[in-house]
Amino acid sequence: MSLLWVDKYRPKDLSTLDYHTQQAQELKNLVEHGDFPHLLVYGPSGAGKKTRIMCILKELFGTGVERLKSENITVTTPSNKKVEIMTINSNYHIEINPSDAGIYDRVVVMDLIKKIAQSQQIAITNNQREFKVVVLTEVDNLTKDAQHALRRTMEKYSRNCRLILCATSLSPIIPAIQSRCLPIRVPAPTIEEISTIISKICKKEDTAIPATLIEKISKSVNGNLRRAILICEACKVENNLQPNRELPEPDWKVFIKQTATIITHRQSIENIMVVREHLYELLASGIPPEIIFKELITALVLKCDKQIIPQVLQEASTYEYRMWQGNKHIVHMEAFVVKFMCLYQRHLKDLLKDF
Amino acid sequence: MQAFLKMGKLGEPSASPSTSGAPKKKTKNLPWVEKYRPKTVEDVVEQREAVSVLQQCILGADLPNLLFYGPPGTGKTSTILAAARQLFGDLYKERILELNASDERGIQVIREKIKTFSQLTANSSRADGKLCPALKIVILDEADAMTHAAQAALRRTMEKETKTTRFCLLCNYVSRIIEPLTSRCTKFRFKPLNQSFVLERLQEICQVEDVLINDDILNVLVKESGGDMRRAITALQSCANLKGKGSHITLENVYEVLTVVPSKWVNSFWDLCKKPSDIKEIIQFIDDLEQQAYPIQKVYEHLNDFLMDSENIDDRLKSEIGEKLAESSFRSSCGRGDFTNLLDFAVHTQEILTEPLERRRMQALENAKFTTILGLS
Amino acid sequence: MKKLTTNKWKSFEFGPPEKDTKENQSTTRKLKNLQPKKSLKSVKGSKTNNNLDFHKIIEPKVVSDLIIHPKKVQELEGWLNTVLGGSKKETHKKIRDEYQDRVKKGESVALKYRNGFPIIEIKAQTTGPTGSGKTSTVRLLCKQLNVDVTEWTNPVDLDYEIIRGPGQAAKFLEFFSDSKYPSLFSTNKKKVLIVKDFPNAIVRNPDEFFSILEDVHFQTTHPVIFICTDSNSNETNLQRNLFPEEVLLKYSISNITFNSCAPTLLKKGLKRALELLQAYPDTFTLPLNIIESIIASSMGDIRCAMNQLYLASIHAETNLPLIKIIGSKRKKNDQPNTIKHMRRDETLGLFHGLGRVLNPKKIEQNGTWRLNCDMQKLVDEFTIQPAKFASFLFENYLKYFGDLEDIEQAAEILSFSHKLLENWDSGETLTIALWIAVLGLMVCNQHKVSRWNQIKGPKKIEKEVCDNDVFRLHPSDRYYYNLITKSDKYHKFKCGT
Repeated sequence: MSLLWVDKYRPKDLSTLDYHTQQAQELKNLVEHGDFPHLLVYGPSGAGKKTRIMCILKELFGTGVERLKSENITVTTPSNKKVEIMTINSNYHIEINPSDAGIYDRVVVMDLIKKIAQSQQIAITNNQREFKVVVLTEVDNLTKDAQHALRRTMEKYSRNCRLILCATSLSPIIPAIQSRCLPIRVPAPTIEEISTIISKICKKEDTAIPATLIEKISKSVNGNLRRAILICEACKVENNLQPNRELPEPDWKVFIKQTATIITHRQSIENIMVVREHLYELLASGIPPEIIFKELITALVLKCDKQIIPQVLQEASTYEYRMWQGNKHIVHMEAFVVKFMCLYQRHLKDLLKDF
Repeated sequence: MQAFLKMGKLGEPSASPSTSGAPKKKTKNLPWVEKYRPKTVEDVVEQREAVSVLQQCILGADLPNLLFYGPPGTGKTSTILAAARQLFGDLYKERILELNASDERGIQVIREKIKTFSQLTANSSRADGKLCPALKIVILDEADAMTHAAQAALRRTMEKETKTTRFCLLCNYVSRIIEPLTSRCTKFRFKPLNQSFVLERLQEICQVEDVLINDDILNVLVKESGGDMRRAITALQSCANLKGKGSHITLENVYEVLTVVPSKWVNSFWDLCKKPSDIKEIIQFIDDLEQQAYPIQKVYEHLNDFLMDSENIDDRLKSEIGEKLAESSFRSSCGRGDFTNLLDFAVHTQEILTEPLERRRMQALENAKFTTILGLS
Repeated sequence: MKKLTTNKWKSFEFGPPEKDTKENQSTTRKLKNLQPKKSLKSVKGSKTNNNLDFHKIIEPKVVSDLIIHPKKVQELEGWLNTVLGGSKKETHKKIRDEYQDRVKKGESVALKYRNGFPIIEIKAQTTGPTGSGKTSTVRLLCKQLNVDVTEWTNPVDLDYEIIRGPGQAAKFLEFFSDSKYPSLFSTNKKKVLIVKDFPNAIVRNPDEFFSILEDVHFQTTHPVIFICTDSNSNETNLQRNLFPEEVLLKYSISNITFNSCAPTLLKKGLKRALELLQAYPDTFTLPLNIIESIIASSMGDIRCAMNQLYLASIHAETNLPLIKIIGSKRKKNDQPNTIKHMRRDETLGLFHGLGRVLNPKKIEQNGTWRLNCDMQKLVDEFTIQPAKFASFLFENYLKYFGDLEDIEQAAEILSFSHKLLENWDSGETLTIALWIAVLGLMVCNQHKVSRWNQIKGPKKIEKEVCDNDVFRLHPSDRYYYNLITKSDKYHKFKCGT
């Protein structure tokens, strides 16, 4: 299969980045300076965090980092359980998503970084640095335990190992880690920036696309550039580039909205069971719980009366907080749904009483 | 860390003993916080009590066990390191044992490592012939992160080794140190630094390191780092690294490095909370805010300032909003629920400010009928 | 009297019958000594002797006495015949054919070559739960086929070094190499080695076992039978640790699995035992009515059943009320604490516990009510794995509730207890969480729905695996991937109306 547009037109150098150019220049300075700190790259999804990280790596080590291979690494936990985790690595860096290991993320973080940091770069030629880079994605999903472990590892192996952490939200990251990293904020591109990039890509692809459609796409994606490009390509594949066409909405979003409709339609035990199945399906297909929660709340809040909104949100934040304490997301989501149903039903009854 | 020294020697750093020995390249890579640590106790400013006691000790008085506490970046580590350097001169490396929270510090380590260290005998003269106390110093950084069991284990060790070893405990919150330990130490409180000292210090560093920065921007940097010298110096170095030689540091750089949220965002959010705005509007705003990726914790901090400063909200309501703010902020820090928590806060603030208290009380009572039997939250 | 019987029971427990039977003790011991009443004085002196005979008496003597499913016996017999009968070459061929069949079926079998001939090691591994008659079957079959049995026993050397150190493993290996030499006392050429006790050192370190197997593979000329007991816990499950699939294939070890004894067979066995015991009416008085309850409580464990029979027969004679409780109540699966030690360990199954919680029984009295359930016991039963129990509860609770507002509370309680369950470093919190979940669900269920529901296990959410080409694609963007490539590689949500 040919490359998706997203991958095909991904900038490879700091100097070819399309937006946040000032920041790109500064990152270049940082790399040249020689004393490279740990980085914490944060920003919403689709804003280009990973792209920037790859550019930085290329700037640091040259084209060698583009020879990627993926590998499964097995880590043994103290209780002798084997955890397999997927990594992407080159000769100079390794990329892992430690939250894939669930509650064993601490072990993965400690073990892997230790292993990597202890193996020194063998031949130090002129272009090479004396450190390797470990890219950790989704650090905001790390447990507090793992974060403390990370901080310790960071200090211990700072001589021959640099970390680049990647996160969407800074809130769950402990201050000790934040203060040890140089924060790099990657805000979402503006609508104009997205439009420019799309039209550039379309030109290269020899696709004539009406300006109004470009604008429509850019506005619909909430600053998620990757999604904008995907939508654009999807439109192209469907061979429908009419300016007034409907844009494809992701099925999971529609699915969540329907779930919300089920909840408000009738409050019954059968419906709770249906909703549970829906939530399971969403979780199983990998939609992150925070997105499910956010979409669900938005859909529900827009459907219900202003009077009960504060209470609904109060409950939502309580259950979401609990959800983040553990791994059984479904329990708390369902508790919220049930709570909402009861609030909603009671409110309806109150309204009827007044008549 | 915090180096509040007025360094007379700053002009010629190569002449200072600690840097001259190391190879040139290494000096370059040394973090500035380390490079500009005060070299003598006299260089430490502001913490007068501690300094005067330590000066006495250097002149020959007996050194007590010490406990330094105070906010981060106020010079606790710097003070004790400088004192040790003056006391022991070149021997200083062998005479101190520094353990910080990143080392394993269970009971085992307290017992083994400190014991072995304190059992080494110390000579009472220095290599250069000067006299020095026949003591060793154990520095326990971030002592409040130690478990209570480990602290208890330390208690005994402290007494037993009193002939040869002195302990210096550094912590942020003295309340987390167990009573028996604090009573064995002379306590010194380290006050947050006056911003003018920090500013002065940064200006000196800028001069030596050829950093180009406007005084206004430097002022902002000092203000945003809130009296934390370490943070200010680290931020300055990061800015300088980002900019490279020869270009001016901009306000944006400072904001980025210190992850400051521009006040216009917080302002409009606060406005949104105060008036009965539509829920759609709030959702849209929070979406936009999330796209900017500002750290939400900072937003909460700002909101707190706004809340405290707003004069047209009476104190009872303020306390209610403040409680909600605390809850939202805490929950945000525990997971990835920024969106829900911000929305929750906004809607509640609205409700508190627009609905009369009596009605809300009634509603709460009504709901209490249905809330859980266990009253859990 | 009671004290006496407990004494007897204990001594009985400590002297495993299998070992003792090997000693050449005759069955013609003076039986009157066995009567508990009279043995009062001789308890200290002849404890072991007293207890021995019971087992000797009821021990199966020939293959047909076995209460193992005939097919199982045939399977084992068939294996023994294959291995022992005919020349070695034929045997190899036979087993090889069998293996080639398996290869044809798509199973991977590693064949080793020595001198150009494939060598298939002649080993079997028997597994099954405790007391399913593994050892007895092997012994009796060997007896019937006239084969010598050499059994490995863990050295009970007092020398600490030998027990702990590498000595034990070395001795284990020695056992195999020594087996090459025929016994001085026997002219029989056929011999089978049985390994039942696995040396501790090996259990702790499976790798060592594998290397020993490798050696044994080349050294022994006799078939080896490993007997493993199934177990629930991971650490002691020998079969899983010591005989993983690849080892079984590599050394061509056949696996013969025993199941727990079926109730009908067990009944047959118990009847036979009763008949045998009729011969000694002085010693054992047999309450005939208890067979059913013994079968129910032994859960297919023959050894356990026999032990219970023994205890019951002694009790019955002395007319202790205890036995009546056992007899009458055990059928209802409700055990008084007094006989707890007699039952098998799994006193209350998971499903049972779930049923109690999800379908609470209430006693109404004067307008109030209370729950009719021994809560403490219920909670104690699951303190080892509270999280598992809680997730089972979550998975199933909805079907047992009849009112939305009850569910509101129940969901809240479950959510709260799951939150507490995350603090797995503190055992007390876990117990409290379990209490909250159990008690909360029982109390909340005010409008319960009594109907039969299938219990579902907790769903394991397995995220879809990412392929390499789209690894960077966020799950929320996979929809577009499907669109662009016009495929349905990723999950599609059915968005009906």
